[in-house]
Amino acid sequence: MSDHFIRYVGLHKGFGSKPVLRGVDLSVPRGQTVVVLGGSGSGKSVLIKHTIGLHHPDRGNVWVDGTDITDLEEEQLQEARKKVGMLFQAGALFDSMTVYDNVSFALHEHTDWEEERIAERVHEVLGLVELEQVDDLMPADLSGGMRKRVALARAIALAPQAILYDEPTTGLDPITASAINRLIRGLQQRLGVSSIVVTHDIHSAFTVGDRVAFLHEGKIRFDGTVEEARRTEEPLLRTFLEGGGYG
Amino acid sequence: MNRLLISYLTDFGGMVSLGWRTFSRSFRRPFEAELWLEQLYQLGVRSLTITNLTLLFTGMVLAIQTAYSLASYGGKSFVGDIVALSVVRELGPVLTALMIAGRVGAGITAELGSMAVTEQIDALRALAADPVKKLVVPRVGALVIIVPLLTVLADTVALFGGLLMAIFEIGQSRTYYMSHVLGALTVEDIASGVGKTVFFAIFIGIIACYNGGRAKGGADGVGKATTNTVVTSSIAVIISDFFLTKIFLMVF
Repeated sequence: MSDHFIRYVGLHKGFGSKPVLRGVDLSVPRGQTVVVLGGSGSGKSVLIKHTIGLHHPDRGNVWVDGTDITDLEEEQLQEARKKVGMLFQAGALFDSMTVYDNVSFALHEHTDWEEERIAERVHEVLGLVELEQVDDLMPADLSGGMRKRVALARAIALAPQAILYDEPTTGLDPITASAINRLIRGLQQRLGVSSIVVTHDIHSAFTVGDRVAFLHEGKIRFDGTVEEARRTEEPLLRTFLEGGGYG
Repeated sequence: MNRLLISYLTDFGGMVSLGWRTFSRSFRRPFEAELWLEQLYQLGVRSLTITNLTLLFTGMVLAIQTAYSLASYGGKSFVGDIVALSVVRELGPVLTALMIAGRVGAGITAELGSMAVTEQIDALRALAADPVKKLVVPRVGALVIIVPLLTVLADTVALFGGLLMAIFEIGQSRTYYMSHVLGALTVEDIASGVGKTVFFAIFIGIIACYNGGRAKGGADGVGKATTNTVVTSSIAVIISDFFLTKIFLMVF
């Protein structure tokens, strides 16, 4: 078994004539959280979407749990997708479905459990994100923070071994943001999952991360522990950190 | 110019590929009966007003146009025949399809488009579900069932519109008009008229789903995709009608 749950090797990706990733090498050790920092448009979201085959690289390889998923077809990606949960930037809840139907979606799709057992699991994961009595609400009735929590509950319903967070605190007020950070930290400790958190929120990065990677112009310019990141002499990351993160 | 051609061809290829994936996944278990029923209601039942109203007035107008503008050719006595043949063979199927392209096609693209720009389609894939099976199959399938049925109903309503005009405007008796309608129509007329609508339904469904799934860039992108669906699927209906008519004429 490889020590790394997720590995990107020499990843290149462009859209049209515009290159976004230009040779990204990055690994996520099992059970650890890697924060990918970078300015808007640096390709952070594009990078993590490769993990579950939502994007396919032009060159390079993506490994998930020891399997090379680079060239897999949609149907062959199912296994990797069940192992890795993803929290989308704005939650991406299915807005025609209730909270209960959203969270139970993957359970209905991929297990043959009785409804009772599904309901039990739904309430368990909603409990993990500190929500209760929200079953019948529609996504439109929820606040931004609640939407992210429901989306997170949906992402962990199948008990994935890794979670990808796309800008988990963006667009939230500071109090809600720190609640989400606490939640991410708590989930890692309780579930022991490997995680990638993509963000430009430096406070969030240092709160939830074990390791920090800095993505700039399509390449990883820094990759180290949180402590190393704090003391870094790497000029680009230094500027980014001192500038408050909004580049 | 070259780039435009390439983008047209890319879209056409994408639609053919989506059509094939939709077809091949239609027969794969589980059959999602609930999703189908929901779409049959949304796309079918809720289109009844617009298709029937359109064809009611078309039937009426056709009757008086025939009676008065063709009066010197003896049009009056052929009102029943002309209304029946033109409605059942052409106007019923085509006008119904155009109304569906506008109402349903636009609705599908707007819905799937807003799902695409809010990453809900990516979320479906992330949860290891198949968007084609979950979103496209029930919509295209519902259209294939519902458009022929809507057409048959709309044809009937148009003939009824013609009947109203025959009695109250032109001064024919009910039996005279009806005997001309029934005398003119053959099973082949009905089969070729209704048969075409199955193809119209597939074109509208695939074009609408394709445009919706590819929508990018927020509300603006969804708006453009929706307009594109109405234009493309209307043109597809009109142009394919010509070729389908030729083919059906050869077959029957």
